[in-house]
Amino acid sequence: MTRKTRPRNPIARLIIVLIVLTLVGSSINVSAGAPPDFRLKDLDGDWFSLSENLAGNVVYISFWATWCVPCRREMPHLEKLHQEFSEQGLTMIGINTDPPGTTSKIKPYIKRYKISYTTLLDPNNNVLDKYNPTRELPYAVLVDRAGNVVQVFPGYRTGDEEVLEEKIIELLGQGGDAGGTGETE
Amino acid sequence: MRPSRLGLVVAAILIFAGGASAQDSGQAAAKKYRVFGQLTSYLELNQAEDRDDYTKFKQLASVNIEWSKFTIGGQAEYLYYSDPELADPLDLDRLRTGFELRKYFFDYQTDVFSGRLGTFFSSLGRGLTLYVQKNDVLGFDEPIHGVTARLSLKHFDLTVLGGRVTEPLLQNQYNREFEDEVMGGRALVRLPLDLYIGASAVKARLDRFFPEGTDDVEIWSIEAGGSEIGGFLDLAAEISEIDKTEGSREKEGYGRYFSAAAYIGPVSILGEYKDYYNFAYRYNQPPNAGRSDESYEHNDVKGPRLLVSADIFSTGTLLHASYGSFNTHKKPTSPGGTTGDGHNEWYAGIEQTIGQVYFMGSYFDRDWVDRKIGEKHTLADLHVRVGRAGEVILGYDQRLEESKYFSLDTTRSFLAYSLSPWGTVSLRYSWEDRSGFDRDDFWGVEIQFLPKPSLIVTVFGGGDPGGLVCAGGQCRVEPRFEGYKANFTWRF
Repeated sequence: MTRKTRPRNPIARLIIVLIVLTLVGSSINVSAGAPPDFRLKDLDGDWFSLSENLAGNVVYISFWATWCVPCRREMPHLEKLHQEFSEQGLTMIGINTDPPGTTSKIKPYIKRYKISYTTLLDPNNNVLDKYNPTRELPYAVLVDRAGNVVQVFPGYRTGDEEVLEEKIIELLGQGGDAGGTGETE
Repeated sequence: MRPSRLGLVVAAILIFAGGASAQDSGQAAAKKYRVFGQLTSYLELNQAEDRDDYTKFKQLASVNIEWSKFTIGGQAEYLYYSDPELADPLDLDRLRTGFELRKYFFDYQTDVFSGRLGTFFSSLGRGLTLYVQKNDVLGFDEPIHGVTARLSLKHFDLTVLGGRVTEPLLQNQYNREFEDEVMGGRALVRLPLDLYIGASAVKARLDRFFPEGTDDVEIWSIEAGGSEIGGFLDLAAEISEIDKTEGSREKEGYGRYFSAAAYIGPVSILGEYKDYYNFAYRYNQPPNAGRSDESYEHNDVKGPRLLVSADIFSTGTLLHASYGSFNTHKKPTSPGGTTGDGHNEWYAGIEQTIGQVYFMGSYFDRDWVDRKIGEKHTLADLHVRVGRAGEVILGYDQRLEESKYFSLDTTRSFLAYSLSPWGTVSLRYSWEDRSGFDRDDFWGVEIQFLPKPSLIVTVFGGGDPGGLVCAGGQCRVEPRFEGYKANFTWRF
């Protein structure tokens, strides 16, 4: 066997690069603006347009799939928030990203978890790709009443639902005067 | 990695970040457009015992600009291997070193029309006639380069598309690019009572791997179904015919898929039937009628499956169970004289939350009756909440393949602590055991840190056995890994 060669200080370089990237990323506060618009079908084949349902509401858009275990853990919490705050102006939207071959499983899954909020289908992942090009699931964005993304939720960890609930209460309390750039039409 | 290249990449990120920061400071406050995207940096230091060390670096930058009904977007990729010869043959990235504009598109979208020029993923119907998708779990990321348009009226949808595409596994296997052409479309009519009927057709010209030339595929399907018929029943059916010309040979095949789902109180019942004969081509992937994280074949297979799920005790105990029995169309009189390739598969699972404890477990068993091979897949997760935002998680995932002569046991386990919203620390222990006498053990530590929601840093050090990884019914063998990995993702 030939003698192994090893690049000089690879771990040190890795740590330096990560520290630089983390510091740069943490120091930038980019206003997320409006979420990318989309038009998708729901489970009954009816079209749903985000822009038509955005105005004046706090909107939570959550991407999920039937194979995603953290999604499964998050969904009952989302249903609870939907039950609690929908009448106060919260619009909860679940976007399923399963491939077309598993479409038949989605509704039984929804029934199993007693999900009553809107479920949309993105089988080609074209909408997910715009929101989250690396496509990890679950992935969610919270939109204020002015139509601006105020927070993203990559993944799900127990306790995230409490952060979300606090944020929703805060945004609902802001009425229609929430700030933001409101950049899209 | 040579410092100059590393420096260039970091400098590019800093310049880009600076631009984004300036934009945020109000310089473009009155604009009617918005810019969004993602930067991902991935670094791998491979330090396997049996070969020289090498470094892999991947930088992805996705940028979209949305203005009114238009969106322009692109994804650039830079891939670097310190020694490409050392890269694992199973690594699909190794064919694309250097800089490449992987995705680019120009979108126009109104309520009734949407069109895209550039790269896109697409599938028609349930994937019988066309399925070109990104699959991150398996590393497939080859879009169609072309044009697609969709007309969506109240009771009528029409999708058309055409372009060039490459199939990544074939490309990796033969170490050269295969460029194919696909064109097709789908029309769907919505009928009263939530019923629908539709049709799709695709024509493909495929680059042959040997001898040089092209093969033609023509495939069409018709589909029909309905939602909540009688308030409790969903139905779907799609039947398809395929004509393949491979050199001077012509082959015909077909695909049939039916599903019925009923909802009765807390019980959901899903029945599926698949019948695929000589049906596979590079760009279709019909329904599995099985679990999505298991392999399946769709060229020659037929059979039914039944999936039942319920919260039968209304206590929050969620149960599901599935049984399927499949075979090929081969008969004793078929070439080769086989009696088929029958396999029976079942799986069952449970989920339960009791106070601060959550448990999820499932077991999958596939018995290849004629091959006399068994596949078993056990999954279990135990989560115990600690305090308001913390959780301890114990995970177990075992894949076992066994016959009279051999067994392969690939097991991964982990102990993790997560603290919302900051991240997770995991200690992993995995092993690969071949027939009980040849075993490799792997330890690893992974830290995922979210300094803010738009920023994710993941670092892994240690080893992973690799092995069979499946998603969406497709599977591939992942290379084993020893060394360090780091991933940095920033969304803006």
